[in-house]
Amino acid sequence: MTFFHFINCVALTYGPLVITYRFSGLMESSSIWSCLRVGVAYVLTQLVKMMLLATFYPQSETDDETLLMDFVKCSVDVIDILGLYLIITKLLGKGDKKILVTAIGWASSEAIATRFLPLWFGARGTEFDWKYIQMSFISNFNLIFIFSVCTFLWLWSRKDTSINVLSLLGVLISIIIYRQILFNNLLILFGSWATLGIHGLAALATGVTAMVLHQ
Amino acid sequence: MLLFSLFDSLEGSLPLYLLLPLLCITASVQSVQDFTIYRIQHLDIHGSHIGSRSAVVNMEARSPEAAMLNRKCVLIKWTELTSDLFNELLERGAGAVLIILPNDWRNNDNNNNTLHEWMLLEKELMSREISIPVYLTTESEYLNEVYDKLTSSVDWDSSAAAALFSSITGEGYSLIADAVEPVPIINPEITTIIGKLSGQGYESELPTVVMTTHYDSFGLAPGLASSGDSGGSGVAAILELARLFSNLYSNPHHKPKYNLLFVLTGADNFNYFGTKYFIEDMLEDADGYLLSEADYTLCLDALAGGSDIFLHVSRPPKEGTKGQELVARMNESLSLVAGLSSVTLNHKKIRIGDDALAWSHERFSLHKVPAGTLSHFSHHSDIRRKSMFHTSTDVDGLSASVQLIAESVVRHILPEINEMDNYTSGIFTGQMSVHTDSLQSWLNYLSQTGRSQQSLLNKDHPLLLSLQQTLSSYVHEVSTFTHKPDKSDPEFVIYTQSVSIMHSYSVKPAVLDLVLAISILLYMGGVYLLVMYFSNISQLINDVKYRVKAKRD
Repeated sequence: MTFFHFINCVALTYGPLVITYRFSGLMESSSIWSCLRVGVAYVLTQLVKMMLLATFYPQSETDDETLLMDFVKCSVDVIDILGLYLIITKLLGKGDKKILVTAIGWASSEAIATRFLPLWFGARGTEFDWKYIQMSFISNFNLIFIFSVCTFLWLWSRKDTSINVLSLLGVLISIIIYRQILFNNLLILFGSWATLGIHGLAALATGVTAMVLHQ
Repeated sequence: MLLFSLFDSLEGSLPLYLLLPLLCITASVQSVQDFTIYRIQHLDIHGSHIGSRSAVVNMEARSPEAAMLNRKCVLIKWTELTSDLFNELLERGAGAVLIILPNDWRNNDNNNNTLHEWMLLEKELMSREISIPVYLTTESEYLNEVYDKLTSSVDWDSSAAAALFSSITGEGYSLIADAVEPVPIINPEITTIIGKLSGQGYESELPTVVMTTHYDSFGLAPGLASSGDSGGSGVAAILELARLFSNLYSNPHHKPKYNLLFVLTGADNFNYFGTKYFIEDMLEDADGYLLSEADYTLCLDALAGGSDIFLHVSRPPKEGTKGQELVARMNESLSLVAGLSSVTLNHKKIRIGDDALAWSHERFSLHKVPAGTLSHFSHHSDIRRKSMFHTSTDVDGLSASVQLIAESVVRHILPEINEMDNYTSGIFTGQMSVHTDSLQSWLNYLSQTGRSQQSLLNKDHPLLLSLQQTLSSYVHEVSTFTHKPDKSDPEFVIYTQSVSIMHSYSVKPAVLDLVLAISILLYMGGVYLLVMYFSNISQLINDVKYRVKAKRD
């Protein structure tokens, strides 16, 4: 549409990240280097994912196998979880800001890598489409999901977590990994706005669960 | 080693990574809708300007009922358009008009009244100068959707809040034509294809009969003009006549002592300039005697339209001339042809001082070459002659007309045939008969091929080449003339940009961005509060959690 629309989408995508970074105390404790290290870890993880996808992505001649495709694509996201786990347990030292740094660093890198170019080329185009605003919202929801996953992984890495909680964490993480399959199908059933609403509620529920589990 | 191989594979996968955003870009481009648009006629004949004089469209779409039309492109359905409505749109300052033709406009089963009204409107639109771009396009699902949205958005009775909401989020469409300002086509080539069957004896001492027709078609939009009857039927007839006579001429025992010329001209819808160029070029040529000494020239106009045909002449053929003989043969042969009921001689003087000619034979008459036009149209101003909506063809009528022409010409060039005993049934029967199937397939092919003169300016156009090739498979001597109108004082000027692509983008009013920006700011405020009071929220959740736990214990 216009440059104004592009600015709107960018503000919506990156605003919450900046606000969280600025006002959660990360800036004061000068965690920018830790965040950058997480960013580098993100890029390396994506490269590993891509190599795996390129190697194992099933070749399909028909369109009926979208479910299988989605499943394979989502399964590769297990690498993301592995990467996040390594960051939380190995890369960063001790400290209660570990979850915050990992989540912000990871979500920012993801938002820059997957959102900026589509917005630059799409939202500035003559054609108006609500999908760029929706994309920005989903980016916000992803921030909550990443926060939750980081919390879950941090809980996982702790020695004092009970076996019940561990199995609950396993289920939650699996749901988060494969959520895209659910949303892709909801999109077909209910349309983009309803799916976006469900997406938001799911993010909210996950976030609250994470807060409840985290003490 | 492991590190090395890792880097190797990394290098291979990096371009893949770069490709990902590219995929997103192409995806966003695909959502734009493209369709073909056909600009209405744009030409100058004898200095008078006709049609739409401009082509550039980069405007928002509006329905005709919209309040403001300035600098907007009005979308309207052909079935809803009237001459008065069109004038009103022009008066209200519309920036451009895009007319949506119904899907079945070409093979419509509409009653003749509707068709007649369409043609009247077509003629009305073509008879004047319009300063804004006017385009035609054919109906599509997408265009119907756009049209419905545009017409439904003009709902003035709705409440103020609903009006405000629709003015903020209202669906709009931006239409952009892939066109530049039209310019005159420099050096248009008008191609004439001539096939010759030489008679027995010295060619230059033999008399000639000339049969001509034009291959170009006319209509509101040059890009859509492909009438099978007007233009197409003449071509099919000439090709079939060439085939019939080539059979006759291939027999050396009774090869006629006559030359036959089969001529296909262009640009006849522009006041018969194609015929004019043919006559002028032919008379200057070494073969000029073929035309100047011709017994008669038969110009074939539309022939696929019924069982009554007319022979239009500028002056009645004089008694005792060869031409009069040929015309008389035509009446004699009428009884041989089953599908024809009458051939009427129609005499219309050339109006001196009037630039526009009525029939193509008048070009020959002006050069003192005896000629007449055969057509199923009784009057030269019949609107069907220059309409793209006149698509119906009657192949039986065409077949009968071809047989009549063939029989009368063969009686003329082989006079001894009249004395034959078994002549009562005609020559062109049995093995020699007219191939109706072949006529039908030519009519089909020509009706499906865009044949405006604007699209046939290159002598290597596939249609012209295939006509040339077909003619040369019947007659051995085929030549082509290409004529370029005089550059300094052209009799007619045709313009570019007949066919283009239009891109349609859905757009939103600019105020939507402002509303969005304010909403996003408020949302950011919410996020700020959430982050600032995160510890309080966390505390609250913990309290609830312990209270629930305490209750359970």
